[in-house]
Amino acid sequence: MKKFYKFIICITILALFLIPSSAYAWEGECGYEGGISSQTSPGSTTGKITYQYQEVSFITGQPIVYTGTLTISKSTKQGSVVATYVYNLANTANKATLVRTIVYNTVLTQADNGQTTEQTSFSKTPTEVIKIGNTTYSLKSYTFTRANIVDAKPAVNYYSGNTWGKKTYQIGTGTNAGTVEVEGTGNFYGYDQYWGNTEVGVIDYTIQSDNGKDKWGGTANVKVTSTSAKKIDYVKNQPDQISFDGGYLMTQDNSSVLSYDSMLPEFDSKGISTDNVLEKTDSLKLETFPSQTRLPVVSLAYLKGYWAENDIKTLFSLGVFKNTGTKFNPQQFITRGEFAAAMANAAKAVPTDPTLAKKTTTTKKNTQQQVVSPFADVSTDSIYFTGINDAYNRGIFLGSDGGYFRPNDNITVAEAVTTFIRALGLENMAPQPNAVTSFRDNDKIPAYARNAVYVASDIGLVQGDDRGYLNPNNKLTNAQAAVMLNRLIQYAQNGISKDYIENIINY
Amino acid sequence: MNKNTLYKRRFIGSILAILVALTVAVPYSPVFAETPELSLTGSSNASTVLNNLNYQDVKASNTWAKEAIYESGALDMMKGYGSNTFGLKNTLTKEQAIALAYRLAGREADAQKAAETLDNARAAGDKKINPTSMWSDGYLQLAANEGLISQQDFNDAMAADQTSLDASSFHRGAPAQRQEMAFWIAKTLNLSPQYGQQKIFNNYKDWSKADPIKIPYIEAILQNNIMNGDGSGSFYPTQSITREQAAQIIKNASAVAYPLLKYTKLTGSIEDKANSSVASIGGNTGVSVINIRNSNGKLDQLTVQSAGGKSGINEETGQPVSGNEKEVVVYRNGQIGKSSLLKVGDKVEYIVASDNSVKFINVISANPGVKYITANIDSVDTTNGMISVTELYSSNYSDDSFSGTGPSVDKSVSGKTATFVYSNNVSVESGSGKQTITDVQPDTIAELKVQNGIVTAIRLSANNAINKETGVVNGIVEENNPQLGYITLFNEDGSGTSPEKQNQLILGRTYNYSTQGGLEVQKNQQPASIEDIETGDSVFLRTDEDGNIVSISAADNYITKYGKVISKRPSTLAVKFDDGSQQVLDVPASITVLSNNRLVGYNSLKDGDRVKLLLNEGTNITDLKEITIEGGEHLITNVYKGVVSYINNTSGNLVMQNLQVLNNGKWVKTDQKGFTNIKLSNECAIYLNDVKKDISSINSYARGNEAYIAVMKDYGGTENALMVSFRNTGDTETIYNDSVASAVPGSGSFSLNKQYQNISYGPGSIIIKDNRLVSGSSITDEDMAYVIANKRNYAGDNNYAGVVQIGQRSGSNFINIYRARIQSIDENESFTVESFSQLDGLTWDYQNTPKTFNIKNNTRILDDSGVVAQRDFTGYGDNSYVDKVVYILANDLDAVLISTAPFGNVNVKGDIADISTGSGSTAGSAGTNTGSVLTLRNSKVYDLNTNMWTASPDITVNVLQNSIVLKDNQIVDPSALVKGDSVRVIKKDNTATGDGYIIIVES
Repeated sequence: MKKFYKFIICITILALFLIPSSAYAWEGECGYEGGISSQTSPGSTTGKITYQYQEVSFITGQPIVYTGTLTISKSTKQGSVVATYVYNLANTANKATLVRTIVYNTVLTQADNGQTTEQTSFSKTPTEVIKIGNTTYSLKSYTFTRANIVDAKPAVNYYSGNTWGKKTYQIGTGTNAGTVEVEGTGNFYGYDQYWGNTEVGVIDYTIQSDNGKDKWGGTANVKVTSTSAKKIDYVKNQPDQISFDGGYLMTQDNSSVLSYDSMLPEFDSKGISTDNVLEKTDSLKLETFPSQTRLPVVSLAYLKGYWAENDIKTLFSLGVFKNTGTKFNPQQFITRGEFAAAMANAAKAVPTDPTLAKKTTTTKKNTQQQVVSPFADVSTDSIYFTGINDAYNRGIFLGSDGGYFRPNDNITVAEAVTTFIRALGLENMAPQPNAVTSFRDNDKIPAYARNAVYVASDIGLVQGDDRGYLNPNNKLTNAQAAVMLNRLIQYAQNGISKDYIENIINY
Repeated sequence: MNKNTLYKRRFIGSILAILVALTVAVPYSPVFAETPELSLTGSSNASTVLNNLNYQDVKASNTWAKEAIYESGALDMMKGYGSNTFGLKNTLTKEQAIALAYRLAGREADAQKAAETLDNARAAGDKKINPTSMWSDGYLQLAANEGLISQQDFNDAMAADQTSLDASSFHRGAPAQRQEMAFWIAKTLNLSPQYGQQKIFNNYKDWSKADPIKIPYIEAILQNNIMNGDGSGSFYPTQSITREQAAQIIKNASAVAYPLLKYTKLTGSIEDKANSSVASIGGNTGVSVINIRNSNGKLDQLTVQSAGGKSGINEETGQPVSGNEKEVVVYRNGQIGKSSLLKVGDKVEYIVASDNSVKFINVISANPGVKYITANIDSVDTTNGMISVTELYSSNYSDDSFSGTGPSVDKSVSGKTATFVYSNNVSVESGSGKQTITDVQPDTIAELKVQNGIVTAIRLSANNAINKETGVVNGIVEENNPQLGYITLFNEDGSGTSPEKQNQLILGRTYNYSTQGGLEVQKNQQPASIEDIETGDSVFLRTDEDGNIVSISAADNYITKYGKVISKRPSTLAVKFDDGSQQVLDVPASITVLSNNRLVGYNSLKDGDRVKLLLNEGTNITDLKEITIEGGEHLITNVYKGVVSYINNTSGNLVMQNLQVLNNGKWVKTDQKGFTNIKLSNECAIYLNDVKKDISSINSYARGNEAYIAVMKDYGGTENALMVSFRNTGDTETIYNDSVASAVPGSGSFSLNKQYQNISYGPGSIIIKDNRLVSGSSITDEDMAYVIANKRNYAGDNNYAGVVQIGQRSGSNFINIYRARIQSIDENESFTVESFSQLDGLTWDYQNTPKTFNIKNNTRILDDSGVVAQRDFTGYGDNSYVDKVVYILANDLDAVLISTAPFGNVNVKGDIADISTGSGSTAGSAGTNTGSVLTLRNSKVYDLNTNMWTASPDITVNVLQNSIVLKDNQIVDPSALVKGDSVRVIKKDNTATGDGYIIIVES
């Protein structure tokens, strides 16, 4: 019979709303029109947000880049999100303007396995007017559908979706005015997590133009990526006579790239299309100035020159390791409790879109809440309780039989690697039924950890020693844990985005 | 894998088949009817040996070497101290070690003879009394004769007063070192020394501490697994050896030594034991016949005889002497004794002497205590291999009446819950056939067979079992051998790379392809051939009732890796991956190479290309499956030179002063004056004096220095620095435009043809070939290169390459320029000209023959107002092109461009000093101007009379709508012309102004 030690604790939820939300990119910030936005917004994070925005249009038979602003406002109600996108764009060289308003309605459905499917359609008739010199293209009809699936893992939300849209523009205003039809089929992929996010999309357009006198068709391929990543650099102080050596600077970079490849007819000197097809390739980039945060400096002067000095200091600065009052000893074996608490901070929960967050009343109210430890051997008084509880609730740690967490046991390399891959949700990258790793001591890896080790080695989270051994059953020291956790954070910052961006844009 | 192992595998496979057949057949056939392959007996000295082996210190300890101590003792190779003490931790002396090495090789007799010869030569008073000491001398003599020790060592050893020897002498009583032991055993066992690369020993951290002469022998010892390190990478060559370690070494050497000793080591399992008694003098003699099923599936019959009765009376004591005992020394579960220890079901290893007497039997695995537990399944944790149950009852025997319906379980009352680990190859069976562990459902009743605490078999009731087909196996391919017709899978849990587990795979996870034909193969859901199944693939096998594969379905497990090509060879590719590791991959002849979603040849791949590789990574081999070349976005667009002001750490910008750009081997000032920002790319490498530096050290030490910068195009049209290399301000810079005379990869230098210069390069040299950043090894003979070399201002110093820019070779599709009058047009197909002139260098060659050019989809037509649609290129109407004189640019007979620009036959040339995009045209323009005007400096005009270039003042050239611009033998837009380009222009006349009809960029 399991015994639970029950505790009643008063907590104030007030504090939760005082945390400033940092700059962060959200899915949908680039819109669904094949453009890129500056992602981040200075100032307000709720209500209307205005971004810098660029997109390329092919309706004239020439790629024309429009720049300007995109204003997004969102509201939620009962499992659906209504989002209004207002575009105000221009191209001065071509004396062109583009004005567009679209209201999307996205219905969210939670599946049994925790995945969320999204279905997007218009909730109002969209409007769009493009003026180029004296010619006006106005949107006559627009059919659009977007489907997305979000798979939430302990520290990363992955998504993958498709869009399809068909626009018909009317050229000019007369009754015999011609039309341009643009059909776009797109795939997009992305992930959201605390240390950064990436969204990539590829849209294939076909353009059919008939202005009554001239008929032509063309194709265009537009690839869009937007990434946001935090990086951490050590900054040394210039003066010597200062109480601390230097510290860590966290920089968040946001950048969006659009590259296109169009195959459109060449036009003769009279402006009539010819049979010769010209291929045009170009790219656009939008970057916002990096936002920077100085991390607190933790005094660990006695580690100066130690192998893992940088990793340990970084983790303390980030609050992944916390000062517990006892001196941090890098050679000491880390306990499961300590590791779980560190993991909860290294593989932080995915932040939620503040524009989608449920409006909560901010009246000051003390709520009495019963906090029960899920494990018989972890007291809610333990300094590691919050971390263990968080890591367990998100599924990074599963705990062992009988409701025991064994917080004071040491953790092995194999166990630690398993939690990494579980946090990233990448177990399925391993071959089935069970991977064979290239470590010389493959057979010593516990069966449950073999897939995780394979994946971790594939994505560069673990490496063998000089002789190719992993030593999976060795206990992990504080220092080794620091190196591994920092590698996990670095992977989350830029390792994962590489696969998304390079795969889609560069190849 | 060599052929031998293959053969062995197959061989074992067939043995296995026989074994399986036999185990099924045996219970129904009378055992005695079978003729034994070997008839074995016990030894008469078993009791004496057992008495000697009754080591109290070994019994009391739990040394790992117990088995080895008893085995070496039973075979008379290592003896105790006579007082029932073995001396586990005592060190082995040098003389003991030598003696042991000889005994191991069965050379005891030789040693005794040598000892006698030695002793006979001694003066009577010097003769040794102690036989042990005398024999020991014999071993030392043999050792000296056979090169185990030197003659000096032998003399030292023979010295009567060993205390008089100095430290460097050979003390026979000193501890033997591990390397000596290895050397001596290798010598006596005649192991061939392994010269050259010591594959195993070099992996030990301390291999260099060993005596170099002994290293090849140590390697031989390691290869034969006779000695090992400490498991953490050390061999400890100079450490001593304890006696228990020595015993283990002997056992390890058994595979090599036993044949020399005429011992045979066999394995088998005890199938049957029959006792009887035979009357003899003074009583009965017990006789046991023990049937051993050997590993060949045949029967070995061992007859032992106990010492019943008496064979006579001891002449001194008058006590009866026990009868003719024929017993064996048996080691079982840490205990030694006689044949009575053996139990049916034991798996044994038995050592047989040449007279068919058994010297020693080692029970490898005793029939473990088996318990059958009938229980309610609570949960099965397949991840951790655990099963939790509530026990109902347990028994030592399987319940024949088990039906799977137990008493209803009240867990709170019965309460006895247990969690077991289940075996990896747990057999799960139900009344309807073989099942797998995933078929074990919670809240069903099952009978668990628990062996040593591990569940080895689970019996489900037919009702509870999942009704499914049998004979489907899943796993990852370890080896596929279609020639020999078998496939081996790794264990389902992914293990199987260690030698022990490999052996298990050969037995347990090797499947033969059905020879009956009709083998169905698919891979990645497509029909495939059996050769397509590769190591590392995930496969499902369906086997027939004989266990042979009838159908196989596989999926590959290729992985993607990103990297940069270091060196491309016809059959190999050296790649540096993004994680910094490098690998040389074999390139199969049929490799798929993709670029921009199109299939291109392996020829399209160049050194310095960024690639995405699809790899099949096995445990010790990597197969290259597919190469994708990165799109052209990241080619080197420019090389700059300028003074580095500083690097802005936050924005990642290089702040440059007085920036110049390299164009056709000349530094040209950029448009922007003063300071320019160049963004550093993420992978930018910065070199100072050939050493890679970080940004902060540049800001501290290199401000105000000149640097070369290679930049690539980034998204959005900006340029990012890919490599920055500082030059020493004091050096003299020279620019060579030359071809490479000789470049030897790895030499760090190359020589030039015209200048006879030897140029060295290093990590800090910016080397660009085909617009890709490459290493010096990519420079090859005959490369046309611009070399920016730096030379110290003192004698003897080499030219050092700051930048090497190797140009592109001319493409194969060369464009010819014609001037002709159109005779007829066959729309969309072709057009014919009456006669034509072809531009040959600087002059037009007239040919008075018609010529027909093809019109292709991409044939462009330009008239003086610009582009003309192909459909308007007709021979009728007002705008008929028939009778018009045009320029035709053709690739062979395919027209690429047709232009109506006027005729010119005057060549002028110069360097573009300025490109103005002002409106209107300058004086003398005849056609419609594009608005751009080129100003040429260093101009020259070709004089058709003297055939000489003559200097001219600066020339301004108007670019017309239908001007033809050629660069790198390609037709380009006029906007591709840049300042610094050397151009040749075909004009109407030799004036300093006017329209350019054909503008050719010369390199």
